[in-house]
Amino acid sequence: MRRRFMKAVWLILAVIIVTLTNIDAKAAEEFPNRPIEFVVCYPPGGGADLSARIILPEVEKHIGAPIYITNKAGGEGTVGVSYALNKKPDGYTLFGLHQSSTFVGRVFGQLPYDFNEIYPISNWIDNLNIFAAKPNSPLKMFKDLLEYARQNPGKLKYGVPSKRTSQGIGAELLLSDARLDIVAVPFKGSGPTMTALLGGHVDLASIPYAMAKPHIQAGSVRALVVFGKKRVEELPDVPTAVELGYEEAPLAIAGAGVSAKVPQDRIEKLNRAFEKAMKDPKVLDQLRKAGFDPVYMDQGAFKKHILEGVEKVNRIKDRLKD
Amino acid sequence: MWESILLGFSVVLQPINLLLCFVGVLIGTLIGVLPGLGPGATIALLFPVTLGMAPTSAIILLAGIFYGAQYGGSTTSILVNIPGEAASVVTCLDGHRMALQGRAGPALGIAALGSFVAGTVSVVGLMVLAVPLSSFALRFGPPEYFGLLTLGMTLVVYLAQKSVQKALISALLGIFISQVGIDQISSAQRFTFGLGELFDGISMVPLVMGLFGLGEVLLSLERGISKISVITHVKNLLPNLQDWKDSTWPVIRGSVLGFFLGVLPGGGPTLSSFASYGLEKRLSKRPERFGNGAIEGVAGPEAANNSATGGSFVPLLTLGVPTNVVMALLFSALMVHGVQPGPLLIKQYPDVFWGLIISMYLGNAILLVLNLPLITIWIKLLKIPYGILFPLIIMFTLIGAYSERGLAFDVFVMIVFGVVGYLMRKCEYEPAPLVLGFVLGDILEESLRRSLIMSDGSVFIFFERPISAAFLIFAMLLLISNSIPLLKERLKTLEKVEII
Repeated sequence: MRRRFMKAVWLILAVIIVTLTNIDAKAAEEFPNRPIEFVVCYPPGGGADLSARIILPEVEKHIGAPIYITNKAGGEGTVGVSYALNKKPDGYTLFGLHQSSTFVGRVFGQLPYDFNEIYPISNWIDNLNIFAAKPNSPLKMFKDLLEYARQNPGKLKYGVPSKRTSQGIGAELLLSDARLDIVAVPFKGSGPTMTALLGGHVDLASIPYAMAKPHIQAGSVRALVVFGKKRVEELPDVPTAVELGYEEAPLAIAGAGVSAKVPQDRIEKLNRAFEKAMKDPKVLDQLRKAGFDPVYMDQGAFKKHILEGVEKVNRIKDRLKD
Repeated sequence: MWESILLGFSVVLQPINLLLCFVGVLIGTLIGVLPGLGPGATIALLFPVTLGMAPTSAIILLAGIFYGAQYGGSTTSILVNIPGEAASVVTCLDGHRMALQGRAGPALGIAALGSFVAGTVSVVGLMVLAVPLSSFALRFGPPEYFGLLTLGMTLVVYLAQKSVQKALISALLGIFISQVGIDQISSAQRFTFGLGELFDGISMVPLVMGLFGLGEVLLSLERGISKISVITHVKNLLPNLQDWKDSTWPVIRGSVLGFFLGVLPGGGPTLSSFASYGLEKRLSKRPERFGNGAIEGVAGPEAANNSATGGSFVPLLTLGVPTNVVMALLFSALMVHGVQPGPLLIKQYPDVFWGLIISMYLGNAILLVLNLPLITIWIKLLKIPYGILFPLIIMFTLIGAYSERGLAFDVFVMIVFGVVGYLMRKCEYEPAPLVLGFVLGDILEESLRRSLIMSDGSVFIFFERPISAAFLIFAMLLLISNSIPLLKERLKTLEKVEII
């Protein structure tokens, strides 16, 4: 009896050893052979989390290993990046990237890690942001806004979800270029900003187009200008900031990054998987329907975009400070 | 109207929708009972699953999780003094006291029944008032919020059980803690010591779990285990006739109050439960019972926070503006299916709107049937010896504190506030006013500053606007009426001193 028991124990041990050595042998062979962790730097449920949950299942298919999400929120998106960068740079830990954990954080010296340690893999989504007014306002077009604000400096107030969001940066960049004095009233998030505009508590608001869309359709809000260079399909008459001769606002960032110390061949694999997922029409469709504006940027474009962001935000640094 | 309701029923009574409604509220109850696990995280995890469903089915499931969680939230508050979120802090005050007196059954029972009534009221409110209420909510700009929150702050007086002064100090400490983090308006860091973990401020869940759950455990350990084991004899399982009499009006008042406050984004459910508690204590003929196991102190706030849940659907469904994380997820869930929440929703997608509302009604009924039998099981939990129960409580608070943001830092925050809660209790400072100050402090400050930016620095903005003026005057009257007895007492003692 005892002998049999010992035999069983030996057998189990043998099996374990064989599997372990096998895993080791395989590990040297190919990447990835175990689950990949993706660190979402905001709490579950927000836009950062949601977009990752839509895209990652598709990336999973192309990379050939399961990807699981951990949420590490805090530090305006920097705590999760620090956490990921502190892990072994073997490509098994990816993290979400946002403005505050890249160019905005860099300009304001709020990054607890070396900016160059981030390798941006791909950007996923952009926010289409607009300047909007109430339909009964005398400000019917951007031209009206220009005239009125020049004659009455400091009189107009615009609602914005905090100045260091893509809405805030877009608006301040435009106001700085156009030399307009319009006072920002920062709200907590785009929802309260929207209700403040609807209730007439502010004259204008810088808000994501996705949030204003139903109200534009219902006629309770009017779009004056789109930040950026591309017009909104549903708003053929609304000009963009670039068309009006102002600088393009840096796009909002929600994308993926990895430690720059990861071996290049692994980064290449990750790049390809993200590229394939972001070119899948099904993913793009789901993102669009969830209210995001998908833009795929590969690592080169993404990196360039982040550096441009640093430069642009630096220029209006003082406006974002007070 | 009747046609619409019939339409709603025809949608909900499809077997798949009925099943999803049941599954939703069941999951909701479970995560509501487990402290620290919020509906936000759960809905986010389930979100990809709903992509393949019809839009109505998806939102029925997800909404079920949301209001189901509110139902379960009171259970741990009553049994072990751990509020899972800020809205059930008030339930701890009298609910846990009732449990210590062997009346956990009636407390849980009235919480469930009160929630059912509140759920019904808020569904009716949604059907009849959703559209007019949304335009009412829009009249609330920063000055109006400032007025409302100032009025809310006066509730501190009612949370005081022994000393009003100590309650005020506790509330001030709460306001101070709410200032930690990056300031919303100027983007400046306050009291963060450069720690990224503090940029978003101290998190609510670790704070309340430490102050209440852990603080209570520490104090019980000091008092000795033998003294508090009276809890094991349970008197009755359901509320008796007297309990019913005491609770009827608080439940009705709480439901109505909660619904209206829930419509207003920002602190709605939390403020509603505190407000209902204050209201009941103010109206009660024997306010001294509050804090010592008064059933009204459970019935009113529980009804209020459940009804506020219903109210918080108004801005989403009529304006397309999500007011919290859960609403943002529901917003996306609808959008993914091509249903645009907003002013045109009710006209364009009546099946979604009415289906959701009727499912909430059925869901509430399911929750009641589900929760009443559970009470006997919960009460048995109280018979677990403290040697086992305390480590379990500590484990759950640790998990709860960690799980919201996934940071070990929050576990330390929880432990620190556990010690703070213990010391406060020892010195007879109550933690509830601290929570009120913490919840309202930063929104009060922000709305003050926003108002002043709007008015170019003139304070008259608060009095030019009728709603904010009315709130401020009401708050002033409340303060005066409350300080008169205090002043009289003071004068009496002064006179005595002079005579001597």
